[in-house]
Amino acid sequence: MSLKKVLYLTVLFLISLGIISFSLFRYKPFAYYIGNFSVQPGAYSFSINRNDSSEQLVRISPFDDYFYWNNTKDHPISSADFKSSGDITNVFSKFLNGRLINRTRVSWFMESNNGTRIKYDIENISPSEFEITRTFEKTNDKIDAVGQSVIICPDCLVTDNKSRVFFTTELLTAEKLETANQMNLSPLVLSNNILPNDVEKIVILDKNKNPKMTLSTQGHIEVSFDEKWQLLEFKTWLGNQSSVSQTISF
Amino acid sequence: MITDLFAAACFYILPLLTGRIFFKPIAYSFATGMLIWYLALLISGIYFPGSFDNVIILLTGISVLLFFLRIIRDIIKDRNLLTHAFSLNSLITPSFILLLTVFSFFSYFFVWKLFTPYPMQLNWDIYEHITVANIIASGQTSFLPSFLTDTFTFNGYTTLFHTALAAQKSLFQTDLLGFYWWVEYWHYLLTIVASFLLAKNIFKKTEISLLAGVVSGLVYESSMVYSNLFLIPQTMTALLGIFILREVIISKEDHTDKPFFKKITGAIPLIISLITALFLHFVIGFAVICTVIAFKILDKEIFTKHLNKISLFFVFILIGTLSLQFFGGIDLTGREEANYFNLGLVKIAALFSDWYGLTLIFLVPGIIGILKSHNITSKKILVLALITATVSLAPFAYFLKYYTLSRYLVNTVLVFGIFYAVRNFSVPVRYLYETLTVLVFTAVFFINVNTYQNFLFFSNVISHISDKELDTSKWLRANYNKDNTLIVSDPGTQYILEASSEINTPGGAYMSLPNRNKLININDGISPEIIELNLKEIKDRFKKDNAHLIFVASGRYFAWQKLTDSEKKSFYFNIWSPRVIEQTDVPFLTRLAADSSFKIIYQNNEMVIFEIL
Repeated sequence: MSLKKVLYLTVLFLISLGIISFSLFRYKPFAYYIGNFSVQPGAYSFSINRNDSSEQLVRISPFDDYFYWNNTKDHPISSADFKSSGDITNVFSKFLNGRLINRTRVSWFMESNNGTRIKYDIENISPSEFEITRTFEKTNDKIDAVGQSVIICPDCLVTDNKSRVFFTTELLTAEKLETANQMNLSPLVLSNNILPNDVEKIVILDKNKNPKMTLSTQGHIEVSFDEKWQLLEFKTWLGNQSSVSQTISF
Repeated sequence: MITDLFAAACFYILPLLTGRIFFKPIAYSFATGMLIWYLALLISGIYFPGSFDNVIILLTGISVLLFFLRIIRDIIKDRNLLTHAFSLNSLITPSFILLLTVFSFFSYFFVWKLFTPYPMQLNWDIYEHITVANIIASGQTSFLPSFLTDTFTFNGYTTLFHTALAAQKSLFQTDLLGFYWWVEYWHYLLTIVASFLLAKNIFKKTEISLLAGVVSGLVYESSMVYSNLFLIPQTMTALLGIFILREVIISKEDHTDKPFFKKITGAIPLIISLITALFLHFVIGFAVICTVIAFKILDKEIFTKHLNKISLFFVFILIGTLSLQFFGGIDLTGREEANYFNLGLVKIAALFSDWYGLTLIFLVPGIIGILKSHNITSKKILVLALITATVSLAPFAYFLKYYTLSRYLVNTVLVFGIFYAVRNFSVPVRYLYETLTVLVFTAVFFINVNTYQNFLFFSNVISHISDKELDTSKWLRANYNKDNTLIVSDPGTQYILEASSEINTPGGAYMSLPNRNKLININDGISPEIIELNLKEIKDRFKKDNAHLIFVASGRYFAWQKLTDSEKKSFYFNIWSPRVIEQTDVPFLTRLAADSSFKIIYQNNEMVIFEIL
């Protein structure tokens, strides 16, 4: 076979590879299915849902997380500051794991224009338990602590293992106190949004008192609750590590 | 399941046997048989109501009997018939078709339907056709579907397709969902066979024909077109059109000079087949007629001399038409959802990228190769591919549907391009490269199917319908008289339940705007009395005055109520997959259940059904 023919065949082969790569890169699934749950990637955040409903269980985003350094607190990525997000890091595993094999882990990342890159690994560690690991692949400053935030369902109540329900001063209403009373829960009004130290487990209840999820406070410095945004923040020392984790049980 | 498999095969075989009494070519005999069955059932339904089942048995009996008598006669006439039929030469094409059948079996059941068990469906459009077919099977008849159900607000076809479905339902006493699970496989296989035979008749090369069959199975137009994986009137018409075109190509190869009278009578099967195509789908049928006429016009010497110039002219027209998409589309129908089907260049490019990946680049060597060749038929097919593609890509809403027919011609040019790119290499190198190309198409197909199916995942099944919806339908059918009951819910639930339970709904997925407004008025803030009033004010053309009114509060219903008002008023938005009832929806259900006018008659975690007393 002449060199010309070999070169021609090589070009044809490369075209074929190009076609496959093009399709793989364009592949953006609506959701990644893990057991009875799905992880739905978005441009600004990702959410964990049940497979059989459109109900969002939690939403997680770098726009809600916090970095703590030199007495400063700020979001790792602020609005209009990011250049890529919502994708799974490896296109080939994205496709192969998308449906064909029973996957247990998906990754989502966001990278800002100022050089911060955070990867979120969402791993199904038991049939109803997820571990979410934030890995800070690139940061500009030496980070002391991280606020791992989750947005919980609207209208859900934040309670603990001691049958207390938490409200914040500025949004407290008589109706909420009445709801707490009807559900046999002791209302505790937070003046500075920070939950007491003796909370071991946070239990999220819907209005019908059905538990939606449980979050452990173990290993975190403090937990705060921003009722306006239904945001729970778990502040965690980072130390010399580059990643932190939290576990959510559904 | 086995009955459905057999019934699905008979959907094609019985009309074929009937038509075979009159004509030999498969396309003509099938089309003629379809038309005979349709006209017989339509006319008998009008003049002798209640005769539907008897006419079917009569037609089946005559067709099968005459088929066997013909075989016996042929064997008596020609003692060597069986020897010829099983000779090595005559088995070549069937053996390639068998090979393609094996391929189609794997690509269909192990890729497309891997997570869609019997009798679940992946085709949203079939429910409206099943609804009409159920009505016809119950003894009603009409030339146009909108006279039978308000699920049809627009008559794009006659009831020919639905009568053919109803015939199988009646003959095998089967449920059309299970039947559909199988019949779509036969349709898929036939689209592959059609592409194979078309390429075989054009290029006379098995290598290209096999490639054409495989590529046809792997290119799935996952929006608006749905050629190979959905069996709906538009896709069946296009498939029939390709088989008709193949017969026309074959008849052109017969150069014997025939007397005028023979020429006229020879055109009768073609004319009948084109009428069948038109009855199956007015628009695509018209496109089939135009394509056949264009092929015959191109056969005139004045055109055959200039086929290269004509092809180049249409290449420029196609490019010009595509550039018109920059300026947005025009709606000729006045339908509410038409705007969503005015795609524009970017969306069209995205759709074609989903369907083909970048494999369309093989069109370039395909066009060049055909222009350089001396094969007149391939040049004519190229011109037809360019014309039909131009029409499909014209900036008008819904015109992309023409691609249902065009895809067969475009794919033929594309496949020739793959062959042409490696034509100068030795056979092993050529085969190796063509195998690699098939792998590329396979990868594109996998990704395309995943993209289409991803959002339909529900309780480990990928489908528009759930087990519980099927159970609910069976229960409703068993406990309520379909002639005296009206189901009201969101458009998606109505659409699914009307087809599977056979009980009437106000418009199914095509619920009228006034009726939608009545549903939109129902919210958490209003009393059960007002909810009852709104539900009772929902109008339906086919509702009887004393009909039982059933309100289905399903997971889909609550998901639909959470859409914006403009989305709820649009035909374009539906809740495509099943949903469970959320905890947040329970208070609404509790309030209704406490009211004496609402009686819970059935419930599971996907729907609570109330009868309004």
